[in-house]
This record gives sequence, structure tokens and C-alpha cells, in this order.
Amino acid sequence: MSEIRNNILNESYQLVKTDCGLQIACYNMPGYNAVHAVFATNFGSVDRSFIMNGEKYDIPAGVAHFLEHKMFENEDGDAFDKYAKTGANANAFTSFDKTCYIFTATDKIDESLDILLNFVTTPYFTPQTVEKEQGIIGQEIKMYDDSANWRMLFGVLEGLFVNHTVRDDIAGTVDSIAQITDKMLYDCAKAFYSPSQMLLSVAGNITLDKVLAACDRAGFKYETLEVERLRTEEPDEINYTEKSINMPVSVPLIAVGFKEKMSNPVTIKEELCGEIIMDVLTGATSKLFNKLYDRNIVNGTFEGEVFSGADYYATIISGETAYPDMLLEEIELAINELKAEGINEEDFFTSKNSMYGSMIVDFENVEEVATNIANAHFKGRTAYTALETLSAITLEDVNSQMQTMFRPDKRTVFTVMPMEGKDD
Amino acid sequence: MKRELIAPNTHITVLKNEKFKRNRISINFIMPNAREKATMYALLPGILERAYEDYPDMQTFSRKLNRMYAAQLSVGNAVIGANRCLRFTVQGIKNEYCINGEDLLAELCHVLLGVIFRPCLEDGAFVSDWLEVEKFKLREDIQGEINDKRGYCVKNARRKFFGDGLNGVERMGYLNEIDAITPQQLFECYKEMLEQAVVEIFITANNPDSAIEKLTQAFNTDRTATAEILPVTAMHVKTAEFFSESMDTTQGKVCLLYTTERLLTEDERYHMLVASALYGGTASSRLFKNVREKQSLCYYCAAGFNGFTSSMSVDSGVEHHNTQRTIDAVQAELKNMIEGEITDEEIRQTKLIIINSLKANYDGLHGLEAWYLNEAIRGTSFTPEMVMDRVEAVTADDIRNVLKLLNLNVVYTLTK
Repeated sequence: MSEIRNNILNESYQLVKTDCGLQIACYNMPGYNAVHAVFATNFGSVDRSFIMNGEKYDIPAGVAHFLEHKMFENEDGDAFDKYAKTGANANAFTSFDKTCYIFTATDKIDESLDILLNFVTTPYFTPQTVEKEQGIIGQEIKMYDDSANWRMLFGVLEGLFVNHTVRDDIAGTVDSIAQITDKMLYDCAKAFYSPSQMLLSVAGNITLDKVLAACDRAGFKYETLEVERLRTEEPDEINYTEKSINMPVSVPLIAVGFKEKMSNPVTIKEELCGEIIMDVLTGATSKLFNKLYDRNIVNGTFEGEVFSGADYYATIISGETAYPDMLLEEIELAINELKAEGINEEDFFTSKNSMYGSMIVDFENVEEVATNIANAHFKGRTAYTALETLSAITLEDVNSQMQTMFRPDKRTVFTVMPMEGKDD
Repeated sequence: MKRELIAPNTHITVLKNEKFKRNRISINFIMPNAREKATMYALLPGILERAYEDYPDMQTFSRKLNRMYAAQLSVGNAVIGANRCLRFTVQGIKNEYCINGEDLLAELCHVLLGVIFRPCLEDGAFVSDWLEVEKFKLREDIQGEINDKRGYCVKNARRKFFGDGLNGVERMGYLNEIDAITPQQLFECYKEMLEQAVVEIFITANNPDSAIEKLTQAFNTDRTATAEILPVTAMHVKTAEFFSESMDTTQGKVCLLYTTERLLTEDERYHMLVASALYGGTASSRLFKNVREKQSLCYYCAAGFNGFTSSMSVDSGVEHHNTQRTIDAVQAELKNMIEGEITDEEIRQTKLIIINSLKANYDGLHGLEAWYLNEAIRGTSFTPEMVMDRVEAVTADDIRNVLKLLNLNVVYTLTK
């Protein structure tokens, strides 16, 4: 067991690897009523090809998310029905790089932990249940198809990435999920849902002993399994420079994305430097935002973000605007100016102060603490790594990284325009 | 929790804060939701949030807040039943986490009072250029409601449901009134709010004494505070009206709005809390299990009861060709609950979920604040524990009887 400590917060949590290979993180938070548990595997939408015990598997877009839905159904019933007996508020989500099964509860924690550990590791699929789920997830996909912001995100990702599976919608498409079979789900569950592949992260009114006891009750056994994730080589080139679609929206939306060249895997320092740069370039204190806001070119939806995972890194500036061309021009000017002049000391320290405050707040509620541990864990970090790394970042680090970013020939612009003849 | 009257119609509530990383202060101005002022109330947050006398432009003020370790200052605009609430909130990390030993709580308090009482003015009114910018944003917001199809469907259903009634006054105001509003008119509206509104102040902080003193001083004036909080009113029962709007979406939307035929008694409020959760408020509710899971009619189907308007909404995302089947299924589930069996197990499970969420009010920085603000507006002072006891006592007959009071007034659909 290791005790992971932070002196700024004067707090710590425990990380344990059990005999079955399952890793457990327990963050006791005195004074809180609730417990939040995250049972996570680093199997996400980007994982589309892998070798398990020598055999290669290729899967269509949307399997990780489909599996997340189906896991709730076991031979002896639905997990939601079981949780209903404990009063826990349960859910699950699939991201680009992981799948998390979660619950929050204030009572009957042992019972809820038993349900969680049991249903996530007991796959049960039949051709009939798979077919039924194809209908439900088809509805979910259609719901996202009507979201202009969602379409914009995947439009810009598809423009930036040629092969990388991060460009595909997390839920897949109606066509891709039609290819999913019960056997495929069993294979993926075997590869990514054995306890040795997973992390159980809990935070709140709970002790490590209680969590260890739940793992004992689950009776997990260590399984020898060799799983290697395969990625298609991603070139430095982008897929397309611009694309536009029409949807029923009131004002156009635009996303300007840059494919950035960083280490593989991306380091925490590269992520944090990128966030400071995006804050100075596009945040509430930036020259760009203030000028554009007062000229009615952008509104509160304008934002800049670092979009990164282990082997992908992009910067995306997006928002609603009635003047997409003008906005694009202003973004370009602001980037050129910032790169020419460099970030000054005052802006750097203001942004760093702000990030420090936001990171402290990350330790305020049980949901965020347990989730942040899971996010950090699969990247080989602790919940405190970002806070500790931030203090060591210098103005020189940030300015030197910025010179490698925003390459004009690695830029994609994606716009969502109102339907012609209506909603204008 | 300690609630104290510090001036006419002005209370301060102090909430303990040992465990959170931040301190928080919120000042709520509550008044009747006058139809003719709705658009002005919607413009005020943007004008007030951007700057005040000490930091007289948006960029300088944003920098100040960022230097205060990402302190968040916001002005919210909420409609609660027939009342309007303008909420000024500031929150920031506790003093012990400040790198240079600052008294951040004192700064938070100073900035919040500055935004409320010392806004930037020009010729005795709000800055006209800023108002023009905020008018543009408000126009965009109102026109942009179509971008969120689920919300758009619910809003249009509400418009048909409430009509011209006080409960239906638009939170974001009215598009055709924006142009005519002048900086002087808006400032007069603001001054009137400062003078007349009921004020509820909340402070969630460790070592709050000096902040309490400053807040008390700031409001210990000769404010008349003559506004009254309007009570809950229910819409009249009528024959259900069906509205269908054509829109080229991938997924269709449905919203059903029910009214209670009379105001609920205090006991019935808690019966309805359990009844609406069992009907469609949880992942094990009747609507979720039967309409979504068993019949696979939709991706979501949820019910929620609004105690401030005594109305229940059910909204759902459906395949276009399933629209009518979903409407029928939603109504059939309600009928089944009223006429059919409700098991003890279902009730027990629903109560557990509600009690869990009541306890969770203690785990969020603004959980208890939101709770006690609602209590103040309702004119009651229940604690979450007191409500837990009420919830525990609800029976199957209570649920059936309170659901019988519901009448379907409006169905609104977005279809191809």
C-alpha cells in the first residue's frame, strides 16, 4: 500500500494493489455524508484494435460505449434494479480513453459496492439483448446528431486526424453499432474488464478497510492475460482544412482546431503549459475575448481548450458567432501577435494563480475527487501530480512550447451554419 | 445553520463550513416577477457582472478575479414560481490555501458588495455601450433557444401551459422589448430592486465573523424592502390541448404538462415528492423502466414536479414515428399508478433514493444554501432531516391520492 500525500492540501489517500491485480484508491473525506465510487477500465472509444493472448481483434466504432450499456444487464437482472434497493444514485460513462461505472450513496455502502463490483465483472449478453440495445443506442446517437456542439467537435476532430480513432463519435454510428455481436462484447469484456485491468476509486465517508472487505467478498481471482492495444500510425498531416454543414441553429458555430506535435505519451507539463497558453490567448482576461465580446463577434460560448490524450494533442477555439470569417481572422491575428511578442510575466502569473485556485477546488467534492484519481491513474499520475507540476512551470517553459504550436498548415476550420432559408 | 433578521425583509443565514475548500457568499434579491420588467431583469446580470467602480472594465475585473485564485463572481437570474430572483454570488478558496497569506474572504466580500452597490455608471445611468452589447447577447440567447431541442420543446410547452399568467413570465424577457430599453430605465429598475426587494443573504465560510459584520452593515440602511414574495398558484384544469411543431431533427421531442387541480397541502407536497420520483424521477422509475427500457420507445423519459407552480412535466426524446405511442405510454403509466398496484418495495426504494439526495445537500458548497433559499421563498423552515421524516411516512394510498390531482393540460411535440 502506498500513502499519497500533498502538503498544500494537507491531505492524503491510499493506493493498494490487491492480490487479484485490482488497484484500489481510497480518499477519506471527513465531514462528508456521501461516498462516490468509480470502477474504471482504460477501455475507451479510441481502443479499436488489440491483441489478446496472441490473437488480434478489430472492433467497430462505439463498442466501448455499447459495452458500458450492456454491462448493466446480468443474467439475474438489471443493475439499476439492484441499486434501487440501496438508494444509490448510479450511472456510467464512456470517454475517449476509459469507461467508468459510478455510484454516489450515503447509506448501504457495502451493498452498493457489492453490486458495483459484481455486475461490472459479470458479462451477460445474448443476440436478443444486443439487438434491443442497438435500438436504444441508435436513439442516443440520433439525439447527439441534433446537437450542433457535438457535431462541431467531431467535425473538427475528423479534420485534424487522418487515422486516429479519436475522430470517431464515442457512441459510434447507427451503421457501426449494427456490426456489434454478443461474441465481440464477450471478447472485449475479457480483455479489459478483468480486475487486473481496473481501478476502483472511492472518495468520501469511507475507509480503505471497508473497500478491501468489499473486494474480498467479490472473490476476484488473478487472471493471466496479455493484452496489447494497437494504434494505426497517425501522420503529422491533417485530414482536411475546412468543412461546413447546415443545421437548424440560430447563429453559426465555428471551431478552429490545430493539430499539435507533442511527446508520446503527452506529458502533464505539456498539458498544463497548453492550458496556460489557451487561457492567455482566449480566456476571460485575454485581449482577444474582450475585443470580440464588445464588438458582438462572440458571446459567452467562446472558449479555447486543450484536447489531449496519451497519443493525441490538439488545441481548439470555438464559439457561436454571426461573423465566422471575421472571427477566424481575429483568432489568426491574436495567435500571430502572441507568438511574436511572447506571453508576458503578468499574464503568466495571473493565469497560473487562477489554475492553482481551480485545482484546489478539484478536491472539494466526492464525485470530482474519485473521478480525478481515475483520470490521473490511467495516465500514470496521482491526483496531486497536476498541482505539484504547476508550481514548477516557468514562463520560459510556456513561451518555448507556444513556439511549436498553432502551425498554420495544421489547422482545420469547421462551421455549422443555419439551414438555408430558415432559422436565420 | 443560523438565520437572522438584520433589517426589514432582510435575512442573513450562516452555514458552517469546515470541510469545503472554498468560502461562498450569495445575496439574493427576490421580488414579484413583473411582466413589464422581465427583459430588464434579463439584461442586468451581463451589465453588472462585467465590472464595477474599482475595476472599471471587463478585462481588468477578470484579471482581478483570476489573481484571487480563480474566484468566481456571478449574477444569476432565476424565476421561482411567480417570483424573480437576482442572485449575486462570489466564491473563492479559503484563506489557508492562499499562497501569499491573503485574507481572501474579506476580498470576496468587498468585491461582491462593490458589484452590487457601486456599479459603473455614466451620466447617472448604466454605461450605454455596455448595454448595447448586452442587448445583442440577449437577442442571440433568445433566438438561440432553438439550438437546444429538448429545452426548446419544454419552453414552448410551458408557454402554452402558463399563457399570460405570472408563472409564465419569461426568464429571458421578450425579444420585441429589447431595443427600447434605455440605460436610464434599466438603472431605475435596478435601483428599485435594491430598494424594495426581499433580501436573503447566505454565507458559507469558516471564520465568517468579519464578513457577517460587513454584510450586515451594508444592508443595515433605510431600505424600505416593501416587496412581497408571491405564493404558489396552480394553473386551472382544462381539456388537454395538443400542439405540434414541425422541425427537421433526427430525434423528435415530446413534453406533457400537468397541473394539480388545487394547491397541495403541506403533507401532499411530500407525497408528491415520492410520487413524482416513483413515476419518472429516477433510473428505476415507472417511466424509465417501462417506457424506455421495456417498450424501447425513447432514449429518455423523465418526470419532475415543480412545487412553486404546482405542475408536473414529462419530457422525452423519441423516434418521430413513436411520438403518439410515447404520449399514450406516459399517460398509461400514470393511470396504472393511480389504479393499479404500487408495491412496498417500489416505495421503499424510491424513498431511499430521495433520502440519499436529501443527505447529499450537505456535501455541496451551495447545497444547503439552495435548500434554505427555497424554504425562505416558500415561507417554511424545514431542514433536510425534517423532510426525511415526512418522506418516510408516505404510503401507497398517499401516492395514489396525490397523483389523482394531476390533470394533463398541454402536450407539445417537435416532429418532422
